[in-house]
Amino acid sequence: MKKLLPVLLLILLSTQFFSCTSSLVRTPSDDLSKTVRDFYELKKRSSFEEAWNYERMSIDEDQDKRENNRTIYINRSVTGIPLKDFEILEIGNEGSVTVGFTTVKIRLVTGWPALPFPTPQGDRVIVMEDMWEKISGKWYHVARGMTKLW
Amino acid sequence: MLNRCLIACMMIIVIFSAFDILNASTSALENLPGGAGISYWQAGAGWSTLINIQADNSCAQVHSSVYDSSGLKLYFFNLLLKPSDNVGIVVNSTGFNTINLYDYSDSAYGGTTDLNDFDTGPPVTLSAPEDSDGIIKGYISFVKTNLDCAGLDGRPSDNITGQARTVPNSLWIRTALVSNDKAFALNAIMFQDFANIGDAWKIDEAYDFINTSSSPNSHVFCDFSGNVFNRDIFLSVDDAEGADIDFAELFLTDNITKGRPWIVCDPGPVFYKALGSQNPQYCARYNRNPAVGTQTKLILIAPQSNHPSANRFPRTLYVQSFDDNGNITNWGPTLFNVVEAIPFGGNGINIGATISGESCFMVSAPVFGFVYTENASFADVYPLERRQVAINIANKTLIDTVSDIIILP
Repeated sequence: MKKLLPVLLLILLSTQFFSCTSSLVRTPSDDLSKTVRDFYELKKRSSFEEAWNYERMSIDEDQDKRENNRTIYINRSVTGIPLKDFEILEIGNEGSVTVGFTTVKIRLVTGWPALPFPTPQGDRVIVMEDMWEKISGKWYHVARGMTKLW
Repeated sequence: MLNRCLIACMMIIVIFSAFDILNASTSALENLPGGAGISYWQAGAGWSTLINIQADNSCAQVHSSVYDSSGLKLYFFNLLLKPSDNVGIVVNSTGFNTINLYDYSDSAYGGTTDLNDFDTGPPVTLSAPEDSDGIIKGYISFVKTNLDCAGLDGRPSDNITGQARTVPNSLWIRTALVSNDKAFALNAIMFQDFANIGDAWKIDEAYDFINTSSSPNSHVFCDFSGNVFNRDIFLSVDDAEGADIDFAELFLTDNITKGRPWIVCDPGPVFYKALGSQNPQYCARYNRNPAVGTQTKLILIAPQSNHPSANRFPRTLYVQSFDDNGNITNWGPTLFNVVEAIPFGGNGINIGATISGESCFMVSAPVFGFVYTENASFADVYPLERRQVAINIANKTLIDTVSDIIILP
């Protein structure tokens, strides 16, 4: 029994440790303001694997598409334009824009991408209408492309 | 016997070498420098545009004119460059229907007073309409508007605005479109041996056109606008501070006859496009697969095409798209805006149920542009293919013949 005690203690500590870490993993919630803040905080910290879980693409029914998009999203984000800061400026009325999306006016502060010619000194400030959609009671970020929304 | 075989082999090698020489190309025109250029820009919905202007080993005063998607001139400014200098412009948006302009790396001769630096501001703020996709679009024209560097400390001098003059090919311009999480870059369209047409800020159908189909080239009255009953005199879009690119200046000019530039107007009348395709056909690759979320947009820019002188060359688009098995769908005629992003499929260009292929179109107005393809995790830009390019070789050979203009390919 004496021999088993350290093993049991170790199992107990491990269980406690993993339950603590899993509670630190952020996920989308029904609170839009908190979800937006968490999402951009993760992006700011370069925690792209967690940030992926906030994207609407992450709950795509097609598993192959979802996995493929996840891999490329994370890889591209790692080498992409770094987010330095953000500020939520205004949260729109729920479901007030096309196909039930909700806009969040956001101010992003980023660097510039690596380009083959000189870029400006100083950070880039973007003020944009971000789109979010509530699905099964949780808010997901709608990625905005030049041709469509994802 | 061996000697005969060797000689025969040598002869075969010589003959095939000669064929290799005959197979040398006529041209490979891409991304040449010029004296004037045009860049597309877009801002808003997370997008900004960086435009970077590079001078060769001479100084430059670059007159820059900002246009919105309906072709309205919003603003103009002069940028000053020392030899081998580099200056940049930022176009972004921080409010609905407005764009901000800044410059950067602008220190030559004290820098321009027309724009403020990006890191100090404030920006020049302009109203411009946002499209349904939330993106504000337009173009900027650039003209090297000086011919000399005889000002104080070698500053640019001898401004060509309002005069019939030709500028050297000493600029190249690059554009980067930057979203909140991605970027792509492309070169601006550049005009070689750009000629500013007309004296006293006017382009006159009675004075500014020439017939190059005979030798010597001869001045002609030319019905450029298609208004057969009148002699039209068009006010130039040049500003007092510098030259801009007029609609008529998107066509080939004769820069050698009688010491001044003219717009070529051969019997017909036939005009030759410096910008765009002569015949006037273009092709572009599209990919649209709803199953994987791939979408493509055609970005078209038809500079100055709402000017009164552009009546003969409408922006009516006729599209014939092919899938990869050669099956055809048609779309149009459709009138598009001066700057427009047109999607493939859905409410845009009809491509049927196909997911990829080639889309070829005709438009009379001189245009440039590209296609932009993206899905959730990928984005890329592809150039348009021009089906014909017209070149005035007499401007280079300085010899006036009955065949000054050649058409490629």
